[in-house]
Amino acid sequence: MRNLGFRLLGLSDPEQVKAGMHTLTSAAEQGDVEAEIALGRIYLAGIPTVPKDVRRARDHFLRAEPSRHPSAAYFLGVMSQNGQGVRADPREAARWFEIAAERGSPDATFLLANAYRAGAGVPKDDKKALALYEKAGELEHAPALQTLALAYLHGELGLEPDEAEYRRYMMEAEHALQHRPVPP
Amino acid sequence: MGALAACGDDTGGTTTNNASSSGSGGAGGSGGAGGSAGAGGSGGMQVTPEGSTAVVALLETTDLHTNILSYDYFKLVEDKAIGLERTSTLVNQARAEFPNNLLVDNGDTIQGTVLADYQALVTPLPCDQTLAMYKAMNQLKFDVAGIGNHEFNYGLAFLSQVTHTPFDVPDLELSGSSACAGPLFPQVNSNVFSMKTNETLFQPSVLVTKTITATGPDGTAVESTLRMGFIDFTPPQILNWDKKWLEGKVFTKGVEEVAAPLIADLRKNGADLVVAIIHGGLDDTPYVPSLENQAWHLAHVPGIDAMLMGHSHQIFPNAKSTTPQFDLPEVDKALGTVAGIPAVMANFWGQHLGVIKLGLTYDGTSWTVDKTKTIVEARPIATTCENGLPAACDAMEQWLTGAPCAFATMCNMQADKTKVYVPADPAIASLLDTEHQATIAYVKTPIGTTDFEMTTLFAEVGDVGAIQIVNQAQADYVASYIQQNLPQYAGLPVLSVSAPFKTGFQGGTDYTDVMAGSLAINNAADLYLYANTLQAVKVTGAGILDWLEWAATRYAQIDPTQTMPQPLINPAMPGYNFDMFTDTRISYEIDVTQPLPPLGMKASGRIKNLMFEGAPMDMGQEFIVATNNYRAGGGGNFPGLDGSKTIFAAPDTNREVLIAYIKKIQNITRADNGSARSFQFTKVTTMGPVTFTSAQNALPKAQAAGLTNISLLQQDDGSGKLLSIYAIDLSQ
Repeated sequence: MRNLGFRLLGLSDPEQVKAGMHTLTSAAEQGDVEAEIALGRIYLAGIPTVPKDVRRARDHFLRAEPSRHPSAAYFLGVMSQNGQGVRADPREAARWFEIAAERGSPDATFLLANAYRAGAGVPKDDKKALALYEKAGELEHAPALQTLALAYLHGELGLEPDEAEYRRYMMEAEHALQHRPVPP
Repeated sequence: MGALAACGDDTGGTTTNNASSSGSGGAGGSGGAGGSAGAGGSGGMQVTPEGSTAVVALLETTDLHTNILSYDYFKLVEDKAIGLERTSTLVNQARAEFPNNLLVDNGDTIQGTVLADYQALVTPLPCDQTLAMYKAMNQLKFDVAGIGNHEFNYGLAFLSQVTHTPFDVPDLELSGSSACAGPLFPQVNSNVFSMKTNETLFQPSVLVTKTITATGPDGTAVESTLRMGFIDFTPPQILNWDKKWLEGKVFTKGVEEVAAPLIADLRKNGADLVVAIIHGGLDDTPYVPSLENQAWHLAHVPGIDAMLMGHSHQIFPNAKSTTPQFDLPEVDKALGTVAGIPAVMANFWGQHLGVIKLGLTYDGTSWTVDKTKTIVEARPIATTCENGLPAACDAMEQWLTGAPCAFATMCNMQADKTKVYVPADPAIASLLDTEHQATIAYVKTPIGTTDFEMTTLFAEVGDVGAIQIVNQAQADYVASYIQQNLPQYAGLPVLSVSAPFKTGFQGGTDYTDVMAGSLAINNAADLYLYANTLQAVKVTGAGILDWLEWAATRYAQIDPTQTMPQPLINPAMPGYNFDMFTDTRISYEIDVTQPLPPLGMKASGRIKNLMFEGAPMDMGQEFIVATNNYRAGGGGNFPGLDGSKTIFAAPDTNREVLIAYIKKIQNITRADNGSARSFQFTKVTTMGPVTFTSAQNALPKAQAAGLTNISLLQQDDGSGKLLSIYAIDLSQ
């Protein structure tokens, strides 16, 4: 049912799109977590005939969250970070990213690393940031690998400048890009 | 040209029987006790006494990605940290150490560098020639090779030709491939099937027969026959990654559907040992046939004696690794075993050679693995010196197996952190000089011209000469894509940002600097340094303001009343994060007298008079901004950029986009492509100089770029990095 919904949503006829939303909503009501998250994504960004609605988006992600799907927590973190549908709260964002990271979301792991690096919502901790970038890197997150590469080149995050490590991480980032990652 | 030498030519003491899953033919039956197990053709070989022992080494390369020579084709410089020509030296040394050996490649071999693209796309290789990569592998006398996922990047017709394997798939006539040149070694893959025939594209298993030198129970040398069976797996995700080539033509299965029957067949055909080649890593999540990394599950299929892994670009064994997949249950990352089976993963681009030294015992019927005499290690082609010793070797400068390591004595009297490299095997470079030179010539072929010198020497004080062309290329690509594919955004303005990647961190030569005149691919690589893919995000005017505010933290806070020199640049914010518009529709000021944000807080207060098309930018208006995967995904920690704003992630790299754009517009001029400066500093009179460093003797270039407020303060900044101190007059 979810796949039918996706197909309808890809069509240009607004009636079909509406039908697609109905289909997805039914799927979600019957417990399809992917459908729930897809609805959240749609309302978060808005698509041609479905206006952005951050409150509805957040509702969908909150409903999906108990299933422990990493994307739900990731999006809740992003929304808290950006103040979408909820007051901007870096602490809350970091909390969600932590949950999503534990569930293996490379993107959330990377954003959590950024939070520790910036001291946003969590105490500033370069060592922790570094470990989280490494973890995201091992999940082939290209921006994380590039961050590590640049950190080695410039001696950031408390690292000794190391050109060989810079080149190694850039190679890894380049390779990671060739494995099209699944977006959250 | 007649039928070429069949894969698996007889070379010395090896015969290779290409056993298929239907179990045809193969070696003579494994005889009963004392029976002469006929290997066919080796008549007169003595019977192997029960209790004989032997040592056989499995040597693995994986993910070479056409890095044959130690060379970077974009930068046109040697790169000793990579390259099969150096792994080859390790292979030669290992073969001397282990006279009984098999060299195996684990795929992702024929795609990855400009050389590969040159042979596949630019000047497509004719049928009667062998790919450079396979030439090198033929030279190295590989025994067998598996198929990875990148093998499919150039399509089935190309793969069929260069491997001289006539795939029988729907809608393609590839029977002529069998007459083409290619590898002299057998290639194996067990899990990619033709939709037309339901057979695998390649042989699903290969049985390699080797004459080995063993030691009899009485200590005397004994010649024996060893039969090693190979199966191979590639990630099922090829159907997504290379959908355009594979949809409707092939299907895949997983290890649990395929491995056991093949192993049984191999044993029936006389295999003493079975080795699993898997282009995948370790993942213990519940098995589904479409799991990307099936090595953990494969190791649990009974009857596998050793496993060669790849794809995830890690080094295994590696006791110090923090990679989560190496901490899974039953994985020993120090010893190199998975579920008790010796396993190795040899990194990528030739940086490591995987070595599984197998101790074997003859039990009267066949050779079996003695795990107590088995050692696994991943040997690097480069290492660093610590206390006069190479870090990759033990304290006696030996490999784990006890042989002298490749770096022995190289670190004598060397400072800590000196890098040492295995020398290249000269046979490889001389074999491929034609292809190598042709690739270099291709990279140097002019794709356009520039009437001005394009540099980042003064990019942070107003020279957009090396940035604007990148922005124009990115915007052009995105606008075009949106028009064709995303009509819902067709009404939104398309903008672009980019940053100067090289801003002198390492000194006066660490700047982008492209001379006026011809532009070639290597110049484009100087203009776009990083391996990024292009992405477009949808943001509001408020989002753009936040974006610029964060970028503006690249500048320190300047106190106009200060009489001592003040550095303009804030080193805590790297130059590669100074995103800039270079667009005649946009203008803004950066007020460097305003403070930087406290730790963890958003930046604000420095961007003034942000205008779009002559009016203040509407904070609620939506814009499309072209950028890259790093920035769009959260790199640099820009507010609101966290992966959630991307409306389009291109398959093309930013560099490829730039190259295509240069080819399109041909003649780049400062007037059209190098002077659309969008930002100015808010004018302020300072009591003392405001300074920054750049390359020495570069002032004329600032002047050529129209910057009239720059002057030289000090010829040499004293850092030893060939930098001068310049001053910028912020009142102008």
